[in-house]
Amino acid sequence: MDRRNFLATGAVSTAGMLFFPGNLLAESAKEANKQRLTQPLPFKKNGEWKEFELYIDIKVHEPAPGFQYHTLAFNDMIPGPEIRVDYGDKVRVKFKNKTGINHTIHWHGIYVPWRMDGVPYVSQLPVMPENEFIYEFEAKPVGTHFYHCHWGTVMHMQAGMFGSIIVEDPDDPIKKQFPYEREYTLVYGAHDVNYIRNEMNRMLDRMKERNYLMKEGRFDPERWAVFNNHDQFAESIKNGWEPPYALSRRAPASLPQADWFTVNGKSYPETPYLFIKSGEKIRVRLINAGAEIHNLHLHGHDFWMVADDGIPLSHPWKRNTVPLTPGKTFDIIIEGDNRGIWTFHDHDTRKVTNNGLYPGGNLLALVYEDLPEDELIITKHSGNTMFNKGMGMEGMDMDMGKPMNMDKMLFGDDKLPKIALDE
Amino acid sequence: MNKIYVILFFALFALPGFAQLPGSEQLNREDMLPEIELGIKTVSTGNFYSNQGNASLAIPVLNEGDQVLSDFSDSYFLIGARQKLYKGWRGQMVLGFSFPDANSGLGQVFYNQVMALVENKNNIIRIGRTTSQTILGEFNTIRDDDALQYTYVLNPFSNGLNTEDNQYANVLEYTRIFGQRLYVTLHAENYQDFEEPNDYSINGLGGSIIYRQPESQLWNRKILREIGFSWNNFLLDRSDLAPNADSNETLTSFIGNATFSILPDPVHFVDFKVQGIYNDGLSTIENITDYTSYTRSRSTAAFGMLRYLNRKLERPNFQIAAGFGYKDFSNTDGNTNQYMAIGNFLYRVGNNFDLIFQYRYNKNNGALQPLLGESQHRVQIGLAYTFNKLFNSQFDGRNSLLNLEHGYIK
Repeated sequence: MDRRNFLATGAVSTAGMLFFPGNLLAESAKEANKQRLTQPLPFKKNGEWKEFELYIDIKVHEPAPGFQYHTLAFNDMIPGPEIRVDYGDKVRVKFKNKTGINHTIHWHGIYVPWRMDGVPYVSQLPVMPENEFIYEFEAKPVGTHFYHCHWGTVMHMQAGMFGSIIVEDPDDPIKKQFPYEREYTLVYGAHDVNYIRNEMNRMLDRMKERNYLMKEGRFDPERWAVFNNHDQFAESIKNGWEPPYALSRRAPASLPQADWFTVNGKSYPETPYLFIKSGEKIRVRLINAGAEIHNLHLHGHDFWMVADDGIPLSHPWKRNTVPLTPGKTFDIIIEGDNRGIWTFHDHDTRKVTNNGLYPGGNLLALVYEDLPEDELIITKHSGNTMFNKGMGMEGMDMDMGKPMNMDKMLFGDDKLPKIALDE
Repeated sequence: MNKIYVILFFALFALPGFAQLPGSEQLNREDMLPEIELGIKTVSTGNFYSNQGNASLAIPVLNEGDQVLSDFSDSYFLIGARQKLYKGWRGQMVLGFSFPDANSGLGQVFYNQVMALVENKNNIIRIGRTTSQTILGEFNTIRDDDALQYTYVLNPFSNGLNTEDNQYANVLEYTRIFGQRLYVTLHAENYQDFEEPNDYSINGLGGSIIYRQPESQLWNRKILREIGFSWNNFLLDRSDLAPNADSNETLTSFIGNATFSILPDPVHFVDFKVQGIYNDGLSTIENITDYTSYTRSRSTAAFGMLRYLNRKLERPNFQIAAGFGYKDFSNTDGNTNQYMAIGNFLYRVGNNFDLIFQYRYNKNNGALQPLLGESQHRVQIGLAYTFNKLFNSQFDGRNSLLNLEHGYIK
């Protein structure tokens, strides 16, 4: 991407609209923050079934102001909308494929019937272009889980085909032990946007050709590279289906190297805030839907680890850094016992970058709503006497004989938080 | 008028020199690595020639009798770099050389691409030496000059000893794109003048309008894949041929072309390409005595080629193509014309690695026989390997499926 453009547009829009100092704690800022959180998927009740509708389409996605790329998005959003059900609910998800390529949905961590598991050619046929598939299962077990596409998974998941599914326990032991009112779901992703672009183009291109043949009933296993048995596979190799050469028609000849890192589809400075109040406990559901490890660290706090892969821990333990590995979910409880604005980020700092530019990526912040306005004055509470009014250099005559306004020079209107887009 | 072009041309070519000014390098402490593309092609054939009639044009392969030679001409090496510019534009430079025909007078290598371009969604500006607009389509011959006399507007400044004079020029070119399919181009060129090799003034002007179906839409469309029309003018200094003529007299040609996907089938693909060239000629030339009068006579040329491509496992397997060309010189006495039949076969033995075979028969009649000989049979057998690799991919192609069908991202 063009870093210069990104910097310019990012700085202007964020400073001007989204993070204007002093407004962070206003209701309007909290409303804006809702767009950065997972969006609930409504359902219809049909007898004993809770019926949801998901579709997949190609969308131009903007993880941070000034940078866009093509993605695959459930219901036009990344991550896909959050499915929230109660333990034991009968869940029916009608899935519509609006793209020109195949997909399935795998329900990661859910005890679905085998035929609902979403693994192409193992549990089901792929959901082909303009086709539908209805998934039905019982919502078990409790906890934080997610769904994702299982076709062309390397590219499809990177492109954005994932979303959270929360199975709530009416008798939740975590809530009993750590009473909370508010909770957040953070879905982490890692994306090689160049790989996504190249591979999406290749997949779409191949499918146009294949659709042409399918309509004429001339499709064959070799072209599909899906074989009924080992003998057919061996025969195809004799017939010229040569795996080393197949690379050139099936995928880029290199593995993805993630260059964008997102939380709920957004990269800093568009990442969500976690709002908290002094004395409050919040629950944060962490989901890693990407292929990178995220060593998540919260400043100024130790948090309680309360669930692992959705399974409540009988003996919660405290940490301030956890390795969220691919496919993993953790639930943590943060106790509001240290008022301030605290960053929460991947301590593998390569992942707090946008296309290599620091800061970016999955950097976000825990924000205390009860921060007094006075504490937002950065110079007053910086701890550095040099910048402390009345104690430092303020008013000092410099060589040019003019009073130096250090606050203005360095801090603008002198309030937190700042949007740092360059080191 | 030509002086203005000289000044404009000089100014545009001199501008890149400012980048080397002392001090400017201090602004370049950190460079972004651009997209880098390598393109390499090797075409190596054994050629057999059987010629009838003596040709006055001093090209050894036109000598009467039989010959066998090794031919690696038209092999090339290209390197390009692209990056995003400010305000949604992209910039690209291409450097490259090819290997010309033996005894062409161009030396061991010919620098056919020394070019920079800038482009955005609707505009392309190209400056430098690159492929000229003397052809609209592209035919399925083994080498792109195999049917040159029928498929290109021939450079009237050339001595006829090489084909590159017709194919490449120093260009100033602007293209406006409408609807991502209609390309309207205005161009000015400096074609190589064999009599004044150090003259870089503008001696060509023209324009074209082409509807071009994006390659990624091949399976979506039927029949018409490309259709175009162009208008080319060579600004002649005619004092050598006609002392009383206006020194600014122009030689005008028109090209029309079309490509039809007769059977756009992923396994059995058939297409037909056709192009016609009308060269208005100079009315004062009534006989063809040398290569200059050959290119400046009024002529009408047509060339068509039918191709069958067999694809196996979504990649080419083999290809058979056959073409025919005819060129008539209506202002010249003695029923002067020429025609060509050409056929080739390509069999893919590995990724982009082909066994190739081509046969060509060319017949010259009337006033052309003393210049080009009577006829020629040519058989070529060999290997071709093309290699293309993009490093540090950063953005999408103009005609990618994602850009065309799912919204354009700069």
